[in-house]
Amino acid sequence: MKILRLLFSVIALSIIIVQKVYSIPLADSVSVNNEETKKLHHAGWAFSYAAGTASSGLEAMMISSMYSYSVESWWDIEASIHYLGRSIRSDFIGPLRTYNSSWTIDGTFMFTPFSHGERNAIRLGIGPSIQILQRISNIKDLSNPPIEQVLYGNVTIIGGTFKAEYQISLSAEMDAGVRGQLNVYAQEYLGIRPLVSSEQRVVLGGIGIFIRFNW
Amino acid sequence: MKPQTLSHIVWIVIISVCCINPVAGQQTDTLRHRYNNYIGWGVSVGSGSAQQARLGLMYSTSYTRTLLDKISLDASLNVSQRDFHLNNIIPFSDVTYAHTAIFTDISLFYQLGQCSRSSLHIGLGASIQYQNAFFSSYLPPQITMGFGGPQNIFFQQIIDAYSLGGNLKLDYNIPVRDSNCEIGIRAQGHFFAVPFTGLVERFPAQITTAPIQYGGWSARLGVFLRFGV
Repeated sequence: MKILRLLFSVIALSIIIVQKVYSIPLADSVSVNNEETKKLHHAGWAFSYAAGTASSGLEAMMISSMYSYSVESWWDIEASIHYLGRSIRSDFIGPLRTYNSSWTIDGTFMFTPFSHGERNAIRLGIGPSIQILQRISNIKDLSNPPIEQVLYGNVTIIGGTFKAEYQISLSAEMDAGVRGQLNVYAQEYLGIRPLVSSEQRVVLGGIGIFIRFNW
Repeated sequence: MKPQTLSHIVWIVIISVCCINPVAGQQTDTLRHRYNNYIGWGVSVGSGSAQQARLGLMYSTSYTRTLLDKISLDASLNVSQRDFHLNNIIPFSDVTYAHTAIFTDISLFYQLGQCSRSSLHIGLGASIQYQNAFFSSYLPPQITMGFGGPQNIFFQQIIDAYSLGGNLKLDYNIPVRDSNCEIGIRAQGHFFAVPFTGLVERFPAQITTAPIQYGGWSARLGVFLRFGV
């Protein structure tokens, strides 16, 4: 995880340095209302430092891919897909090894509440979310002789997502920025077997960097 | 050079190259020369040493930057996932297997040829892989001889680790008429060394048979949809 932290830092620093070296204008002056620069389609990727039920509560790297369409200059509809997973080993109560894997699909209404056409802006988003969560664990009971068991679960849950991002326009075709998101899911599920106890709510949170292309 | 250092250098190069505009002003009639940037999505089918020789799907997204007339730089993010459960197979029985591999490729492409507006490209590059995998099985007595006598042993393997490797790709790109879109057919192979960091474990460790290889190879064939930006 130290490598991930360092990697995020280097990428963020590189974006800033490159922007300075090549004197790419921070596009406050570029208005999306200008028909010549107006781009309707946006697609990009994000790498986030995340944690959630799908990583057994531990930090992990979340990878995201997203596409959005500008309906108006101040709001977009975005579809995004995220992968988060982590395998863990614990010897706290007997040997326990767990494989976690999750796919999350979000539909988000993204809008710019505090700006008037500038492309460097804080953007907020809210919308529905679906998560497909898979977990495989082995447990070893303490009977004599001990018996190993493998527990498998695969559930689909529905919830909501909240996103906040700060977008920096590197050029008319490319944006970058920082993005955070929080997903919370209902306790009802569809699937093979409960992965978590009924009291535990499935959640996902992360903060990361993104790069996005416009056309 | 440490792998971490290499990883940092690769990322810095990518981002720097993104902000250079070497072919601006060139005018040719192919789609590849009308746009400097391409983003794309693709689905591939294939197999590899980590997938127990079973076919699986891989989802990819890619970014391509035209550097020179026939040379381009491609960065892609690929995710493959495969899992299965099997009963009573020999030599392993009651197998539970799940494997997710996420790998990022940086490839330099060279245009081998052009037919009408379609073009053929070959690419070579470096890759970094995140592997998240789980394997468990009861091993039968014929395998466990020497580990406390003939008995069933519960064996498991878990991986949550990063490894470095290389990739070789072949692209055939077909532009869609009157649009900024092209359809690409991509054949690709990946090779990875053993992980350099992360959790890698066999339990019990005396059993050296590793069903999920640490690193290994994979080969896939897929279709991409790319947009010039």
